[in-house]
Amino acid sequence: MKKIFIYLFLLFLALILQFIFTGWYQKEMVDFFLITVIFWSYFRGWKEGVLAGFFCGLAKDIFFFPLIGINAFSFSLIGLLMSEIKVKTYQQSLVFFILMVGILFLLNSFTLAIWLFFFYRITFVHTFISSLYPSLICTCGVCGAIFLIEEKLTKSSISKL
Amino acid sequence: MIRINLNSKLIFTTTFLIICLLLAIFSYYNPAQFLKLREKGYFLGSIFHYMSFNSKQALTDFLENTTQAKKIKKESELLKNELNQLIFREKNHYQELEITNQRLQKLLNFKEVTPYELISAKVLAYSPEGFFQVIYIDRGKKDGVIQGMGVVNPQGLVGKVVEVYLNEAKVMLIIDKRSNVGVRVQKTRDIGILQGTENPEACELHYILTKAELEIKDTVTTSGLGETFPPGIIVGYILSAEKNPNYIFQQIKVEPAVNFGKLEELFLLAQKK
Repeated sequence: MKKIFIYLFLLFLALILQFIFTGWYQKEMVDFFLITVIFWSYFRGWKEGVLAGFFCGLAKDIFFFPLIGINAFSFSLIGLLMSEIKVKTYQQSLVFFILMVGILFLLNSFTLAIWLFFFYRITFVHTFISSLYPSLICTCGVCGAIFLIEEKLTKSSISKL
Repeated sequence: MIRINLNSKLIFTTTFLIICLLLAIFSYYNPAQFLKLREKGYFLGSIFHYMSFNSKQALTDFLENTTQAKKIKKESELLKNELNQLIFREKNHYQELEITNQRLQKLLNFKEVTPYELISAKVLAYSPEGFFQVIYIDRGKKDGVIQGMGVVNPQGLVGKVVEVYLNEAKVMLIIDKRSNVGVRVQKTRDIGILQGTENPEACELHYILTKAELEIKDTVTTSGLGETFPPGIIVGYILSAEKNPNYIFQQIKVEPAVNFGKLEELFLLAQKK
């Protein structure tokens, strides 16, 4: 139950931040939903990752997308992949993490571009490329910062013990 | 076991992916079904957008105001500092400059009318041992100062050089007990010797005969007989003169012309012009 509340709180936070930042810059600067999914699946495993991805994607679809389900599709996939990568690689480095976030972001953009092309015949290349800058860099940056903070907090709690 | 695990993962994820696809297809073909949901979403979205716009405006205003306030504060501090400097200068420096200017003007006048070659000097320090006995000046051997040179200021005789160093010299004041100066009462032309008492207010004048008719405030000048000081330099004014018929000499007190508590610029008497 506590977990659900935390997830809902994070989802709500992502929603507010997404609205605020989109309102400020008139375009998507940082994908807060994607960040939520990435970290949730990174720390909570594949099952929760897929669930988190589904609901985050659904929220993003309702508020920001013309079609319901395509972000949910993409984020569910990302939730699974992120937890799988963590389990398979055992990597804890910042560079590797940012690289993974970048790759997953590209995958997300790729999937969205394909679905938009499939449903609305919107040019694939345009959709794909326009979603990259500056969102890719900013999202990777925010993820890197959160990763560092989390690492520091973990280290300090270990040293306290 | 691994296969079961893999299968469960695959089934779980695929189920969600299929649900997503079905949702996408359904919302594409029946957008009206999701209209209410979207309307609610858009309503919430419009609130957030409004909040976002307002917060941005507020943040921008706040940042602008803060920057402006910082600028104003900095400017005000600078102005305050400048004002304080000006006040300080006006209160201290300018007044001091004016006084120095007046003093130097007097010195210049004195230098012009004195028929001797003068070397200007400044008081470096009063001797800590005898405050009103010895002073140090900022001229020495390098400047041509020699032992025995007379030291004067516009008011009159100050003393004589007793020790010379490379860059400074020691001056014994006429109020020092060891000081003896050959003097003459300007009006009556009586000759005597002025001796210090270590009291900056009064010196003693010896060897003036009882029959000499002196008056209070008579000017006492150097006699020029001792060759240390040229004649005619004002030394002081007669403060009191006591006559005793049993003595040959009078007991006379002379008030020095120089204010020894305010010595600043001095002149060394080098030679005749």
